[in-house]
Amino acid sequence: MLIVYHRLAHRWQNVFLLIASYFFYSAWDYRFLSLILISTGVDYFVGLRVHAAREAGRSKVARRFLLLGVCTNLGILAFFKYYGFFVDSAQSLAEAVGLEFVASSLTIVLPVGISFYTFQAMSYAIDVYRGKLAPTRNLIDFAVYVAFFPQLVAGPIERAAHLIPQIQTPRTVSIDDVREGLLLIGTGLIRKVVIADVAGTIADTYFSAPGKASSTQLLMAAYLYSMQIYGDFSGYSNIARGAARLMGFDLIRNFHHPYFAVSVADFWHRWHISLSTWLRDYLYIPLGGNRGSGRRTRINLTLTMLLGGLWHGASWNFVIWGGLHGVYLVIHRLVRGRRRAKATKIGAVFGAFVTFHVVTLTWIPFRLTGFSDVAAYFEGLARFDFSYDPILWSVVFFAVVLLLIDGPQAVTNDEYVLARRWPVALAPAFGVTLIAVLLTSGGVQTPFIYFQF
Amino acid sequence: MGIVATVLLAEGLLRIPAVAEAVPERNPYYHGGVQERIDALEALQAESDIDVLFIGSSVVRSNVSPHAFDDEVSVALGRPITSFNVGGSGLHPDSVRLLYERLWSELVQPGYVIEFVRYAELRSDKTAQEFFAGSDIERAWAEGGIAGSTRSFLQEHSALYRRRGVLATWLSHEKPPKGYKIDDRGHSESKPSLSEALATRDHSDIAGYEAIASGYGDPLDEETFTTGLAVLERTAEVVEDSGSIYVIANMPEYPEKFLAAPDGEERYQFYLDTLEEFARERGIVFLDVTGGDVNEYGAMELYSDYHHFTETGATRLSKELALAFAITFG
Repeated sequence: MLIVYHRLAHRWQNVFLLIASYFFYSAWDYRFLSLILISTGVDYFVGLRVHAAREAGRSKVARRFLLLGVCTNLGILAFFKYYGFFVDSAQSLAEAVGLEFVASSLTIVLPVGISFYTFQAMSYAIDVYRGKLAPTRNLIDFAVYVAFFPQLVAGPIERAAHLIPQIQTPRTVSIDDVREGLLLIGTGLIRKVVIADVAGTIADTYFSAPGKASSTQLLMAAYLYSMQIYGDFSGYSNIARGAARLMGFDLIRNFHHPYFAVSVADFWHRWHISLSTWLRDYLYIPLGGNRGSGRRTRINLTLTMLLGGLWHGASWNFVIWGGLHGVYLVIHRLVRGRRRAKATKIGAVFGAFVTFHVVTLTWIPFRLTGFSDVAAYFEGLARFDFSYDPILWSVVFFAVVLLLIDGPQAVTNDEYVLARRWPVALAPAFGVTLIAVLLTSGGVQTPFIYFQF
Repeated sequence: MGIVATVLLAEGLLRIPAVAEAVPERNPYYHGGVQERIDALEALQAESDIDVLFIGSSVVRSNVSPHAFDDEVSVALGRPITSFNVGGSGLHPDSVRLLYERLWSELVQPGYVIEFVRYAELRSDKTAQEFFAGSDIERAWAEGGIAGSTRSFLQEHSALYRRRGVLATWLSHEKPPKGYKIDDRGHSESKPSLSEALATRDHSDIAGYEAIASGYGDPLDEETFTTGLAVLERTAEVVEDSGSIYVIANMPEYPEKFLAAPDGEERYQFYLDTLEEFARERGIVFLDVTGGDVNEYGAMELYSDYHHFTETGATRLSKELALAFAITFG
């Protein structure tokens, strides 16, 4: 595919990318391609109309068109992702207050990646409305922006101001792009295949029956899941960025060593950055951000995190997960507001240790969808029957591999430190990656976790 | 170049005996029992030719005792014969066919190959391709083409490839799956465990009954066995091409599996008639020790679960099959 792509002229490269992206998406279910086409068509039209209305000084008309774009995207998302959740919740609520409520039941299949591309398309219309972006008049360029296959199904959620100019202008690929792109793909494969898939399989054995596991096993399962979800999601992001880089695109960085974060607020500057900044720019700030009273800011924070949790899935456990992070952020603001101590190394290490454990234990309601399982998990952990378990060595192994990847990058603050400082070591590192992938892959494919969102 | 050198270095290291021993290869077959059978078969062939080979799923593995069969046939025919059991866990008829075609027929040329089938297997539309998706050798055989040939080549020549997934297994602290203990003829004894549950005859009390019995109450028509019969047809061709006589035999099952549905007896008869007609049209011998009676193997002490026999059941089936075999081929 890369050979064909690089042989084409710039305009044809975009056509080729569009066909490849639609083909890629159709491989899951061709019927849902229609949703991408609707989202693309509506937002393309809305962008042009909003811009025209703004130029003519007709702000009410611009607002109406923006509303059309936002409602279309949210409508698609609400129907395909949240219909069942809202109906079930309404039914439970009605039953709780003694009302009879019979809702029509529909079995709706969740289109893969719907949360990612609807958010991406929506941000375009909003940015045009805000005057931050001129609308693109080339439908193919815009369609590539919405459906760009490396990041279509699991992000990073790109901003139009960042990606569309790269689509519009001819792209070049240097030897550094190739090196760094391959490095991203290689580290992505290790994160996904060597860490996430194996750690996830081990964790599953304990999460499948949390009531039967010892406290040690439950704690180790939480560590393993923590590494699984990080390895899985950051692995996908890296592979997507690496593949894009080989085609001359620079996608935004989605993870910045989140488990080195010294506070939960710091964690959200490092974890799923494209979503957290999206929520900040299109939800938190429009709600008032931190411009109002302290109370208002805390409400805005909690609301943003609750909706961020709901973005992950139509289930109360995701809402609880988001809500907990909202509470942590509020507590962080309250504590920080009172005391601004000088950062020390020991303080940073302590902060990272506490933050990692808070974040890790908060993954439990994210991972275990049944409330009874969550209760069984924490009951088991509270038994405190800690003793040596050989699973500890697996946790150490995955942690060491992650540290080997993230450590040098974090210390040098250079994501491509291997390619830039030790280019000679690059080829053997790819060889080791191949061997590691082979030794950990058993022939059974494990889908990426974030595909479901 | 650096990538290739690193991979070749690892390959070379794994060829050093001490390293190879420290990092053992993973079981390349879909089940550890396959290698056990190969070893047992080769040991037996050093002493005697194989006259009869039993193929099929786990019901063959546990329900057919070659020793009991040989004793009975030898008496009936007045000459010693030797049989061997290569029935394997969880196999569908297409997987049985593939294993015979690619493995057993290469190792042994018996006079007769007897394949046992039961109702649920004949109505299955599972293919060997999907069944062996997680294994190395069988997957390569099932895939065929360039992908299959590449896998086969790597499996044969690469020490590194033969260790696929071993790190994941080590990290998981997985114990090797509990194998079954086979005798020198490939037969494994099942533990009598469900007699009490079976004795209640109350299906709701028997864990997993609904799932196990699924399919025994589904609508039945002429298409039900189309895929299964097509697979048997291919197996017959392979067996005949290898110079052996192909025999199909019906494997009795616990009658309640059929009788839980209102049309159970008719269903059982329809299944037998279909098999018999197929065999007649194809010129294959069909053996049925139940004589068309679903209750013939109804005694609880014969079963360790709904279709695996206890040693008592295995001995009875093997002896009755031996008599039918001796009468047909004697």
